[in-house]
Amino acid sequence: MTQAPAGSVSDTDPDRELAFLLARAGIVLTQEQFAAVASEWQGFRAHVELVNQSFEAAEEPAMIFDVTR
Amino acid sequence: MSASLSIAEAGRALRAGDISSAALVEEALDLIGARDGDVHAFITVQAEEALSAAAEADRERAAGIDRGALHGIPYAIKDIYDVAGMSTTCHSRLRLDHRAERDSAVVERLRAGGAILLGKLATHEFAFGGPSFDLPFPPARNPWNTAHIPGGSSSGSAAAVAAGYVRFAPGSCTGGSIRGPAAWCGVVGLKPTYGRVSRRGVFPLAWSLDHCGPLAATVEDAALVLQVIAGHDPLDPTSAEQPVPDFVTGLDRGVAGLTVGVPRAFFTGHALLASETAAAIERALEGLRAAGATVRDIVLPDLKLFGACGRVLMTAELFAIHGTDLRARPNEYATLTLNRFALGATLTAFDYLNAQRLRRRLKAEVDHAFDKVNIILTAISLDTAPAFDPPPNPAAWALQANAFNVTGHPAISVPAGLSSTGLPLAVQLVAPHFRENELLSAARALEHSLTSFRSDVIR
Repeated sequence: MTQAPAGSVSDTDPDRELAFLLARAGIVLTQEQFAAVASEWQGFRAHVELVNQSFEAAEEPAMIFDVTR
Repeated sequence: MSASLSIAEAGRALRAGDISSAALVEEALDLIGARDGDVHAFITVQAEEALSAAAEADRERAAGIDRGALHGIPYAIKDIYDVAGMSTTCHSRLRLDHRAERDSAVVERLRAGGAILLGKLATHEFAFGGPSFDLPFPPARNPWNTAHIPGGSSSGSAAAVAAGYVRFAPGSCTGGSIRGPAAWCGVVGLKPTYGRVSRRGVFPLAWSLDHCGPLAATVEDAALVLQVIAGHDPLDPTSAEQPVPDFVTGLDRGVAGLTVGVPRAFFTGHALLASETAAAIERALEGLRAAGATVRDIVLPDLKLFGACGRVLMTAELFAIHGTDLRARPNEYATLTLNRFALGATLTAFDYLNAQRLRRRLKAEVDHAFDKVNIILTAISLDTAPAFDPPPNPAAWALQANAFNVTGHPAISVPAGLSSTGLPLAVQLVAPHFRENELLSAARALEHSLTSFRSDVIR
Protein backbone atom coordinates (compact mmCIF):
# COMPACT_ATOMS: atom_id res chain seq x y z
CA MET A 1 0.00 0.00 0.00
CA THR A 2 1.11 3.56 -0.61
CA GLN A 3 2.07 5.54 2.45
CA ALA A 4 2.05 9.26 3.05
CA PRO A 5 5.72 10.23 3.16
CA ALA A 6 6.94 12.24 6.11
CA GLY A 7 8.28 15.74 5.59
CA SER A 8 7.99 18.06 2.62
CA VAL A 9 7.31 17.12 -0.97
CA SER A 10 10.01 17.47 -3.56
CA ASP A 11 9.34 18.32 -7.21
CA THR A 12 12.41 16.31 -8.07
CA ASP A 13 10.79 13.07 -6.93
CA PRO A 14 7.47 12.76 -8.78
CA ASP A 15 6.60 9.40 -7.26
CA ARG A 16 7.09 10.78 -3.79
CA GLU A 17 4.99 13.83 -4.65
CA LEU A 18 2.20 11.68 -6.12
CA ALA A 19 2.22 9.40 -3.08
CA PHE A 20 1.88 12.46 -0.86
CA LEU A 21 -1.02 13.88 -2.89
CA LEU A 22 -2.91 10.58 -3.01
CA ALA A 23 -2.39 10.02 0.70
CA ARG A 24 -3.52 13.56 1.48
CA ALA A 25 -6.72 12.80 -0.44
CA GLY A 26 -7.15 9.59 1.53
CA ILE A 27 -6.67 7.29 -1.45
CA VAL A 28 -4.85 4.08 -0.63
CA LEU A 29 -3.57 2.03 -3.55
CA THR A 30 -1.55 -1.13 -3.99
CA GLN A 31 1.95 -0.72 -5.38
CA GLU A 32 0.75 -2.00 -8.73
CA GLN A 33 -2.13 0.48 -8.82
CA PHE A 34 0.19 3.27 -7.74
CA ALA A 35 2.62 2.48 -10.55
CA ALA A 36 -0.21 2.63 -13.09
CA VAL A 37 -1.45 5.97 -11.76
CA ALA A 38 2.12 7.31 -11.73
CA SER A 39 2.47 6.34 -15.38
CA GLU A 40 -0.73 8.23 -16.27
CA TRP A 41 0.36 11.22 -14.20
CA GLN A 42 3.32 12.01 -16.44
CA GLY A 43 1.13 12.90 -19.40
CA PHE A 44 -1.47 14.53 -17.21
CA ARG A 45 1.09 16.88 -15.64
CA ALA A 46 2.00 18.12 -19.10
CA HIS A 47 -1.64 19.08 -19.65
CA VAL A 48 -1.84 20.86 -16.31
CA GLU A 49 1.37 22.76 -17.01
CA LEU A 50 0.09 23.81 -20.44
CA VAL A 51 -3.05 25.24 -18.83
CA ASN A 52 -1.14 27.06 -16.11
CA GLN A 53 1.38 28.53 -18.54
CA SER A 54 -1.40 30.25 -20.46
CA PHE A 55 -1.83 33.20 -18.10
CA GLU A 56 0.10 36.25 -17.11
CA ALA A 57 -2.53 38.92 -16.57
CA ALA A 58 -4.68 38.59 -13.47
CA GLU A 59 -7.54 40.39 -15.20
CA GLU A 60 -8.82 37.42 -17.16
CA PRO A 61 -11.62 35.90 -15.10
CA ALA A 62 -12.58 32.26 -14.86
CA MET A 63 -15.68 30.90 -16.52
CA ILE A 64 -17.64 28.68 -14.23
CA PHE A 65 -20.26 26.47 -15.86
CA ASP A 66 -22.13 29.09 -17.84
CA VAL A 67 -20.33 28.59 -21.13
CA THR A 68 -23.07 29.72 -23.45
CA ARG A 69 -24.62 32.75 -21.83
CA MET B 1 -37.82 -4.79 -43.30
CA SER B 2 -39.52 -2.16 -41.17
CA ALA B 3 -36.48 -1.71 -38.91
CA SER B 4 -34.65 -0.01 -41.78
CA LEU B 5 -37.36 2.63 -42.15
CA SER B 6 -36.42 6.13 -41.05
CA ILE B 7 -38.35 7.56 -38.11
CA ALA B 8 -40.39 9.70 -40.50
CA GLU B 9 -41.06 6.73 -42.80
CA ALA B 10 -42.03 4.51 -39.89
CA GLY B 11 -44.28 7.26 -38.54
CA ARG B 12 -46.11 7.52 -41.87
CA ALA B 13 -46.49 3.74 -42.06
CA LEU B 14 -47.80 3.61 -38.49
CA ARG B 15 -50.35 6.35 -39.15
CA ALA B 16 -51.44 4.65 -42.38
CA GLY B 17 -51.90 1.38 -40.53
CA ASP B 18 -49.33 -0.39 -42.73
CA ILE B 19 -47.28 -1.50 -39.71
CA SER B 20 -47.79 -1.53 -35.96
CA SER B 21 -45.60 -0.47 -33.06
CA ALA B 22 -45.81 -4.05 -31.81
CA ALA B 23 -44.34 -5.29 -35.08
CA LEU B 24 -41.50 -2.74 -34.88
CA VAL B 25 -40.67 -3.83 -31.35
CA GLU B 26 -40.90 -7.55 -32.18
CA GLU B 27 -38.56 -7.10 -35.13
CA ALA B 28 -36.08 -5.16 -33.00
CA LEU B 29 -36.18 -7.82 -30.29
CA ASP B 30 -35.57 -10.52 -32.90
CA LEU B 31 -32.53 -8.64 -34.22
CA ILE B 32 -31.16 -8.13 -30.73
CA GLY B 33 -31.69 -11.80 -29.91
CA ALA B 34 -29.96 -12.90 -33.10
CA ARG B 35 -26.98 -10.58 -33.05
CA ASP B 36 -26.32 -8.92 -29.75
CA GLY B 37 -24.43 -11.95 -28.48
CA ASP B 38 -21.64 -10.68 -30.74
CA VAL B 39 -22.17 -6.92 -30.52
CA HIS B 40 -22.96 -6.58 -26.77
CA ALA B 41 -24.71 -3.24 -27.24
CA PHE B 42 -27.29 -4.01 -24.55
CA ILE B 43 -26.81 -4.38 -20.80
CA THR B 44 -30.54 -4.87 -20.17
CA VAL B 45 -33.38 -5.67 -22.57
CA GLN B 46 -36.88 -5.15 -21.20
CA ALA B 47 -38.88 -7.08 -23.76
CA GLU B 48 -42.16 -7.44 -21.89
CA GLU B 49 -42.35 -3.79 -20.94
CA ALA B 50 -41.53 -2.75 -24.52
CA LEU B 51 -44.18 -5.04 -26.02
CA SER B 52 -46.71 -3.73 -23.53
CA ALA B 53 -45.85 -0.12 -24.34
CA ALA B 54 -46.04 -0.87 -28.06
CA ALA B 55 -49.50 -2.39 -27.65
CA GLU B 56 -50.57 0.73 -25.77
CA ALA B 57 -49.16 2.94 -28.56
CA ASP B 58 -51.12 0.94 -31.12
CA ARG B 59 -54.31 1.31 -29.04
CA GLU B 60 -53.75 5.04 -28.70
CA ARG B 61 -53.21 5.47 -32.41
CA ALA B 62 -56.35 3.49 -33.17
CA ALA B 63 -58.20 5.83 -30.80
CA GLY B 64 -56.93 8.87 -32.68
CA ILE B 65 -54.26 9.86 -30.20
CA ASP B 66 -51.04 10.99 -31.89
CA ARG B 67 -48.10 11.84 -29.61
CA GLY B 68 -45.89 13.01 -32.45
CA ALA B 69 -42.98 11.82 -34.54
CA LEU B 70 -41.65 9.28 -32.03
CA HIS B 71 -44.99 7.75 -31.09
CA GLY B 72 -44.54 4.00 -31.25
CA ILE B 73 -40.87 4.15 -32.33
CA PRO B 74 -38.48 1.83 -30.43
CA TYR B 75 -35.27 3.18 -28.90
CA ALA B 76 -32.67 2.26 -26.31
CA ILE B 77 -30.65 4.42 -23.97
CA LYS B 78 -27.14 4.65 -22.51
CA ASP B 79 -27.08 3.17 -19.04
CA ILE B 80 -26.27 6.41 -17.27
CA TYR B 81 -29.83 7.73 -17.78
CA ASP B 82 -32.32 7.00 -15.01
CA VAL B 83 -35.41 5.02 -15.96
CA ALA B 84 -37.92 4.57 -13.15
CA GLY B 85 -37.69 1.06 -11.73
CA MET B 86 -34.49 0.12 -13.57
CA SER B 87 -30.87 0.08 -12.46
CA THR B 88 -28.62 2.84 -13.71
CA THR B 89 -25.43 0.80 -13.58
CA CYS B 90 -23.10 3.20 -15.42
CA HIS B 91 -21.53 -0.10 -16.54
CA SER B 92 -19.88 -0.28 -13.11
CA ARG B 93 -19.91 -2.79 -10.29
CA LEU B 94 -20.21 0.17 -7.93
CA ARG B 95 -23.78 0.72 -9.17
CA LEU B 96 -25.16 -2.79 -9.54
CA ASP B 97 -27.54 -2.30 -6.62
CA HIS B 98 -28.86 1.03 -7.83
CA ARG B 99 -32.55 1.42 -8.65
CA ALA B 100 -33.91 4.65 -10.14
CA GLU B 101 -37.05 6.03 -8.54
CA ARG B 102 -38.00 8.30 -11.40
CA ASP B 103 -37.21 8.92 -15.05
CA SER B 104 -34.46 11.22 -16.23
CA ALA B 105 -35.72 14.30 -18.05
CA VAL B 106 -34.87 12.84 -21.47
CA VAL B 107 -36.69 9.58 -20.75
CA GLU B 108 -39.60 11.56 -19.34
CA ARG B 109 -39.90 13.54 -22.58
CA LEU B 110 -39.48 10.47 -24.78
CA ARG B 111 -42.10 8.62 -22.76
CA ALA B 112 -44.51 11.55 -23.13
CA GLY B 113 -43.77 11.49 -26.86
CA GLY B 114 -44.74 7.83 -27.07
CA ALA B 115 -41.29 6.37 -27.83
CA ILE B 116 -40.84 2.72 -26.77
CA LEU B 117 -37.84 1.90 -24.56
CA LEU B 118 -36.24 -1.45 -25.39
CA GLY B 119 -33.56 -1.34 -22.69
CA LYS B 120 -30.27 0.05 -21.39
CA LEU B 121 -27.06 0.22 -23.40
CA ALA B 122 -23.39 -0.39 -22.71
CA THR B 123 -21.07 2.49 -21.97
CA HIS B 124 -17.55 2.89 -20.69
CA GLU B 125 -17.51 2.83 -16.89
CA PHE B 126 -19.08 6.08 -15.67
CA ALA B 127 -18.99 7.30 -19.30
CA PHE B 128 -15.21 7.58 -19.21
CA GLY B 129 -12.24 5.88 -20.84
CA GLY B 130 -12.55 2.27 -21.93
CA PRO B 131 -13.02 -0.21 -23.37
CA SER B 132 -12.40 -2.32 -20.27
CA PHE B 133 -12.78 -6.05 -19.74
CA ASP B 134 -12.70 -5.95 -15.92
CA LEU B 135 -16.29 -4.73 -15.60
CA PRO B 136 -19.54 -6.58 -14.84
CA PHE B 137 -20.64 -6.42 -18.49
CA PRO B 138 -18.61 -6.91 -21.68
CA PRO B 139 -17.73 -3.87 -23.81
CA ALA B 140 -19.84 -3.19 -26.88
CA ARG B 141 -18.27 -4.06 -30.22
CA ASN B 142 -18.35 -2.31 -33.58
CA PRO B 143 -21.10 -3.82 -35.78
CA TRP B 144 -19.07 -3.07 -38.92
CA ASN B 145 -16.34 -5.40 -37.64
CA THR B 146 -16.65 -6.82 -34.16
CA ALA B 147 -12.86 -7.11 -33.85
CA HIS B 148 -12.88 -3.31 -33.64
CA ILE B 149 -14.05 -1.03 -30.87
CA PRO B 150 -17.16 1.10 -31.43
CA GLY B 151 -15.67 4.10 -29.63
CA GLY B 152 -17.12 5.50 -26.48
CA SER B 153 -18.33 6.25 -24.09
CA SER B 154 -21.73 6.01 -25.84
CA SER B 155 -20.48 2.72 -27.25
CA GLY B 156 -23.71 0.77 -26.90
CA SER B 157 -25.74 3.66 -28.32
CA ALA B 158 -23.63 3.81 -31.49
CA ALA B 159 -23.51 0.04 -31.84
CA ALA B 160 -27.28 -0.34 -31.36
CA VAL B 161 -28.03 2.17 -34.12
CA ALA B 162 -25.36 0.82 -36.45
CA ALA B 163 -26.57 -2.74 -35.94
CA GLY B 164 -30.08 -1.67 -36.93
CA TYR B 165 -31.70 -2.55 -33.59
CA VAL B 166 -33.06 0.97 -33.19
CA ARG B 167 -33.17 4.17 -35.24
CA PHE B 168 -31.96 6.32 -32.34
CA ALA B 169 -30.32 6.00 -28.95
CA PRO B 170 -29.59 8.92 -26.62
CA GLY B 171 -25.97 9.16 -25.51
CA SER B 172 -23.96 11.61 -23.48
CA CYS B 173 -20.84 13.58 -24.29
CA THR B 174 -18.22 15.08 -21.98
CA GLY B 175 -15.22 14.99 -24.30
CA GLY B 176 -16.56 13.46 -27.51
CA SER B 177 -18.60 10.52 -26.30
CA ILE B 178 -21.44 11.06 -28.79
CA ARG B 179 -19.52 12.11 -31.92
CA GLY B 180 -16.62 9.70 -31.46
CA PRO B 181 -18.60 6.46 -31.40
CA ALA B 182 -20.98 7.82 -34.03
CA ALA B 183 -18.01 8.42 -36.32
CA TRP B 184 -16.52 4.97 -35.78
CA CYS B 185 -19.89 3.22 -36.21
CA GLY B 186 -21.06 5.15 -39.27
CA VAL B 187 -24.07 6.84 -37.66
CA VAL B 188 -25.00 10.44 -36.90
CA GLY B 189 -24.02 11.82 -33.48
CA LEU B 190 -25.36 15.18 -32.32
CA LYS B 191 -23.98 17.05 -29.32
CA PRO B 192 -26.35 19.99 -28.88
CA THR B 193 -25.37 23.29 -27.29
CA TYR B 194 -24.47 23.05 -23.59
CA GLY B 195 -27.73 23.42 -21.70
CA ARG B 196 -30.00 22.68 -24.67
CA VAL B 197 -31.02 19.23 -23.37
CA SER B 198 -31.63 18.63 -19.68
CA ARG B 199 -29.15 16.37 -17.84
CA ARG B 200 -31.50 15.79 -14.92
CA GLY B 201 -31.38 12.15 -13.93
CA VAL B 202 -28.21 11.44 -15.92
CA PHE B 203 -25.21 10.32 -13.86
CA PRO B 204 -22.63 13.11 -14.27
CA LEU B 205 -19.04 12.77 -15.39
CA ALA B 206 -18.15 16.47 -15.30
CA TRP B 207 -20.93 18.97 -14.74
CA SER B 208 -19.57 21.80 -16.83
CA LEU B 209 -18.77 19.59 -19.82
CA ASP B 210 -21.62 17.06 -19.90
CA HIS B 211 -24.09 17.18 -22.78
CA CYS B 212 -27.00 14.88 -23.67
CA GLY B 213 -27.91 14.21 -27.29
CA PRO B 214 -29.00 11.63 -29.83
CA LEU B 215 -27.14 9.10 -31.90
CA ALA B 216 -29.29 8.26 -34.90
CA ALA B 217 -29.27 6.59 -38.29
CA THR B 218 -29.70 9.84 -40.23
CA VAL B 219 -29.59 13.60 -39.72
CA GLU B 220 -33.37 13.80 -40.03
CA ASP B 221 -33.79 11.14 -37.35
CA ALA B 222 -31.45 13.11 -35.06
CA ALA B 223 -33.47 16.28 -35.69
CA LEU B 224 -36.74 14.54 -34.87
CA VAL B 225 -35.31 13.26 -31.58
CA LEU B 226 -33.78 16.61 -30.64
CA GLN B 227 -37.17 18.23 -31.22
CA VAL B 228 -38.63 16.06 -28.48
CA ILE B 229 -35.82 16.14 -25.91
CA ALA B 230 -34.71 19.80 -26.18
CA GLY B 231 -35.96 22.56 -23.95
CA HIS B 232 -35.54 24.31 -20.64
CA ASP B 233 -35.83 22.24 -17.50
CA PRO B 234 -36.15 24.30 -14.30
CA LEU B 235 -35.03 21.25 -12.32
CA ASP B 236 -31.63 21.17 -14.06
CA PRO B 237 -29.60 24.19 -12.90
CA THR B 238 -27.47 24.06 -16.06
CA SER B 239 -30.44 23.96 -18.44
CA ALA B 240 -30.60 26.95 -20.77
CA GLU B 241 -33.65 29.20 -20.88
CA GLN B 242 -33.68 29.37 -24.66
CA PRO B 243 -36.63 28.97 -27.03
CA VAL B 244 -36.66 25.72 -28.99
CA PRO B 245 -36.94 26.33 -32.74
CA ASP B 246 -38.36 23.91 -35.29
CA PHE B 247 -35.39 21.66 -36.09
CA VAL B 248 -37.19 19.64 -38.75
CA THR B 249 -39.17 21.90 -41.08
CA GLY B 250 -36.16 23.74 -42.52
CA LEU B 251 -33.91 20.74 -42.67
CA ASP B 252 -33.65 20.85 -46.46
CA ARG B 253 -32.83 24.53 -46.69
CA GLY B 254 -29.34 23.63 -47.92
CA VAL B 255 -26.09 25.53 -47.62
CA ALA B 256 -26.27 27.93 -50.56
CA GLY B 257 -24.86 31.27 -49.48
CA LEU B 258 -23.30 29.91 -46.29
CA THR B 259 -19.62 30.14 -45.50
CA VAL B 260 -17.91 27.06 -44.14
CA GLY B 261 -14.72 27.59 -42.13
CA VAL B 262 -12.00 24.93 -42.01
CA PRO B 263 -9.43 25.01 -39.16
CA ARG B 264 -6.90 23.00 -41.13
CA ALA B 265 -4.25 23.20 -38.42
CA PHE B 266 -6.49 20.92 -36.32
CA PHE B 267 -5.77 17.97 -38.59
CA THR B 268 -3.38 18.78 -41.48
CA GLY B 269 0.07 17.37 -40.87
CA HIS B 270 -1.06 15.46 -37.79
CA ALA B 271 0.93 12.24 -37.46
CA LEU B 272 -2.26 10.22 -36.92
CA LEU B 273 -4.16 11.62 -39.93
CA ALA B 274 -5.01 8.76 -42.28
CA SER B 275 -4.97 9.55 -45.98
CA GLU B 276 -8.50 8.20 -46.35
CA THR B 277 -9.72 10.56 -43.61
CA ALA B 278 -8.03 13.50 -45.33
CA ALA B 279 -9.70 12.47 -48.59
CA ALA B 280 -13.09 12.19 -46.87
CA ILE B 281 -12.73 15.74 -45.52
CA GLU B 282 -11.93 17.04 -48.99
CA ARG B 283 -14.91 15.15 -50.45
CA ALA B 284 -17.13 16.71 -47.82
CA LEU B 285 -15.85 20.20 -48.61
CA GLU B 286 -16.32 19.62 -52.33
CA GLY B 287 -19.86 18.45 -51.67
CA LEU B 288 -20.67 21.59 -49.71
CA ARG B 289 -19.12 23.77 -52.43
CA ALA B 290 -21.21 21.99 -55.04
CA ALA B 291 -24.28 22.69 -52.90
CA GLY B 292 -23.53 26.41 -52.99
CA ALA B 293 -21.43 27.03 -49.90
CA THR B 294 -18.23 29.06 -49.81
CA VAL B 295 -15.31 27.32 -48.14
CA ARG B 296 -12.46 29.23 -46.46
CA ASP B 297 -9.69 28.32 -44.08
CA ILE B 298 -9.81 29.73 -40.55
CA VAL B 299 -7.41 29.81 -37.64
CA LEU B 300 -8.44 28.63 -34.19
CA PRO B 301 -6.28 28.25 -31.07
CA ASP B 302 -3.98 25.24 -30.90
CA LEU B 303 -6.05 22.08 -30.46
CA LYS B 304 -3.68 21.03 -27.66
CA LEU B 305 -4.98 23.91 -25.54
CA PHE B 306 -8.56 22.66 -25.87
CA GLY B 307 -7.42 19.16 -24.98
CA ALA B 308 -5.46 20.22 -21.92
CA CYS B 309 -8.21 22.54 -20.74
CA GLY B 310 -10.89 19.89 -21.10
CA ARG B 311 -8.84 17.23 -19.36
CA VAL B 312 -8.10 19.40 -16.32
CA LEU B 313 -11.74 20.47 -16.01
CA MET B 314 -13.02 16.92 -16.40
CA THR B 315 -10.55 15.41 -13.96
CA ALA B 316 -11.22 17.99 -11.28
CA GLU B 317 -14.98 17.68 -11.58
CA LEU B 318 -15.09 13.88 -11.73
CA PHE B 319 -12.88 13.73 -8.65
CA ALA B 320 -15.39 15.86 -6.78
CA ILE B 321 -18.02 13.28 -7.77
CA HIS B 322 -15.98 10.11 -7.15
CA GLY B 323 -13.61 11.14 -4.36
CA THR B 324 -15.61 9.40 -1.64
CA ASP B 325 -15.80 6.09 -3.54
CA LEU B 326 -12.15 6.33 -4.59
CA ARG B 327 -11.26 6.51 -0.91
CA ALA B 328 -13.68 3.84 0.27
CA ARG B 329 -13.60 1.18 -2.45
CA PRO B 330 -11.00 1.88 -5.14
CA ASN B 331 -10.76 -1.79 -6.08
CA GLU B 332 -14.32 -1.81 -7.42
CA TYR B 333 -13.39 0.52 -10.29
CA ALA B 334 -11.99 -0.87 -13.53
CA THR B 335 -8.22 -0.48 -13.66
CA LEU B 336 -8.37 2.05 -16.47
CA THR B 337 -10.98 4.13 -14.64
CA LEU B 338 -9.06 4.09 -11.38
CA ASN B 339 -5.82 5.10 -13.08
CA ARG B 340 -7.42 8.20 -14.55
CA PHE B 341 -9.85 9.14 -11.77
CA ALA B 342 -7.17 9.08 -9.06
CA LEU B 343 -5.32 11.86 -10.88
CA GLY B 344 -7.96 14.25 -9.59
CA ALA B 345 -6.21 14.09 -6.23
CA THR B 346 -3.24 15.93 -7.74
CA LEU B 347 -5.15 19.01 -8.90
CA THR B 348 -5.37 22.29 -7.05
CA ALA B 349 -7.79 25.21 -7.13
CA PHE B 350 -5.05 27.03 -9.06
CA ASP B 351 -5.18 24.39 -11.81
CA TYR B 352 -8.96 24.25 -12.03
CA LEU B 353 -9.49 27.99 -12.09
CA ASN B 354 -6.79 28.50 -14.69
CA ALA B 355 -8.52 25.89 -16.84
CA GLN B 356 -11.77 27.82 -16.47
CA ARG B 357 -9.94 31.01 -17.41
CA LEU B 358 -8.45 29.32 -20.48
CA ARG B 359 -11.88 27.99 -21.34
CA ARG B 360 -13.27 31.52 -21.47
CA ARG B 361 -10.52 32.57 -23.87
CA LEU B 362 -11.00 29.51 -26.12
CA LYS B 363 -14.75 29.99 -26.24
CA ALA B 364 -14.29 33.65 -27.21
CA GLU B 365 -11.90 32.65 -30.02
CA VAL B 366 -14.39 30.17 -31.47
CA ASP B 367 -17.20 32.72 -31.12
CA HIS B 368 -14.98 35.19 -32.99
CA ALA B 369 -14.50 32.69 -35.81
CA PHE B 370 -18.28 32.55 -36.17
CA ASP B 371 -18.27 36.29 -36.95
CA LYS B 372 -16.81 35.30 -40.33
CA VAL B 373 -18.27 31.86 -41.04
CA ASN B 374 -21.62 30.16 -40.50
CA ILE B 375 -20.39 26.62 -39.96
CA ILE B 376 -17.04 25.03 -39.10
CA LEU B 377 -16.04 21.73 -40.71
CA THR B 378 -13.20 19.69 -39.24
CA ALA B 379 -12.18 16.13 -38.53
CA ILE B 380 -13.90 14.14 -35.83
CA SER B 381 -11.48 11.23 -35.89
CA LEU B 382 -8.20 11.19 -37.76
CA ASP B 383 -8.50 7.48 -38.45
CA THR B 384 -10.99 4.63 -38.36
CA ALA B 385 -11.94 2.60 -35.27
CA PRO B 386 -8.99 0.80 -33.65
CA ALA B 387 -9.04 -2.94 -33.06
CA PHE B 388 -9.52 -4.47 -29.61
CA ASP B 389 -6.24 -6.32 -30.04
CA PRO B 390 -3.74 -4.99 -29.18
CA PRO B 391 -5.62 -3.14 -26.42
CA PRO B 392 -6.14 0.42 -27.61
CA ASN B 393 -4.91 3.34 -25.53
CA PRO B 394 -7.74 5.90 -25.29
CA ALA B 395 -5.18 8.64 -24.67
CA ALA B 396 -3.76 8.05 -28.15
CA TRP B 397 -7.07 8.01 -29.99
CA ALA B 398 -7.16 10.39 -32.86
CA LEU B 399 -10.38 12.10 -31.81
CA GLN B 400 -10.89 15.83 -32.16
CA ALA B 401 -14.17 16.23 -30.36
CA ASN B 402 -13.46 17.68 -26.95
CA ALA B 403 -12.76 21.23 -28.18
CA PHE B 404 -16.48 21.86 -28.49
CA ASN B 405 -17.32 20.36 -25.13
CA VAL B 406 -14.98 22.94 -23.66
CA THR B 407 -16.69 25.77 -25.56
CA GLY B 408 -20.23 24.38 -25.47
CA HIS B 409 -20.84 24.85 -29.21
CA PRO B 410 -23.23 22.40 -30.92
CA ALA B 411 -21.43 19.84 -33.07
CA ILE B 412 -22.37 16.82 -35.14
CA SER B 413 -20.57 13.83 -36.62
CA VAL B 414 -21.74 12.93 -40.12
CA PRO B 415 -20.81 9.67 -41.90
CA ALA B 416 -18.48 10.26 -44.86
CA GLY B 417 -18.01 6.93 -46.57
CA LEU B 418 -16.06 3.78 -45.85
CA SER B 419 -12.34 3.13 -45.68
CA SER B 420 -10.67 0.49 -47.82
CA THR B 421 -10.91 -1.82 -44.79
CA GLY B 422 -14.68 -1.38 -44.64
CA LEU B 423 -14.78 0.83 -41.57
CA PRO B 424 -16.71 4.12 -41.39
CA LEU B 425 -15.19 7.54 -41.99
CA ALA B 426 -16.81 10.77 -40.75
CA VAL B 427 -16.48 14.53 -40.54
CA GLN B 428 -17.56 17.02 -37.89
CA LEU B 429 -19.61 20.19 -38.28
CA VAL B 430 -19.88 22.90 -35.62
CA ALA B 431 -22.26 25.88 -35.32
CA PRO B 432 -22.71 28.92 -33.06
CA HIS B 433 -24.45 28.37 -29.73
CA PHE B 434 -28.12 27.40 -30.04
CA ARG B 435 -28.00 27.26 -33.86
CA GLU B 436 -28.70 23.55 -34.06
CA ASN B 437 -31.16 24.16 -36.89
CA GLU B 438 -28.36 25.57 -39.08
CA LEU B 439 -26.05 22.77 -37.97
CA LEU B 440 -28.61 20.12 -38.86
CA SER B 441 -29.46 21.57 -42.26
CA ALA B 442 -25.76 21.76 -43.15
CA ALA B 443 -25.32 18.18 -41.95
CA ARG B 444 -28.30 17.13 -44.04
CA ALA B 445 -26.77 18.77 -47.12
CA LEU B 446 -23.52 16.99 -46.39
CA GLU B 447 -25.30 13.69 -45.89
CA HIS B 448 -26.92 14.05 -49.31
CA SER B 449 -23.63 14.80 -50.98
CA LEU B 450 -21.73 11.85 -49.53
CA THR B 451 -22.05 8.12 -49.77
CA SER B 452 -24.99 7.19 -47.62
CA PHE B 453 -25.26 4.18 -45.36
CA ARG B 454 -28.10 2.04 -44.31
CA SER B 455 -28.02 1.20 -40.64
CA ASP B 456 -28.55 -2.53 -41.22
CA VAL B 457 -24.84 -3.20 -41.42
CA ILE B 458 -24.66 -6.69 -39.99
CA ARG B 459 -27.59 -8.30 -41.77
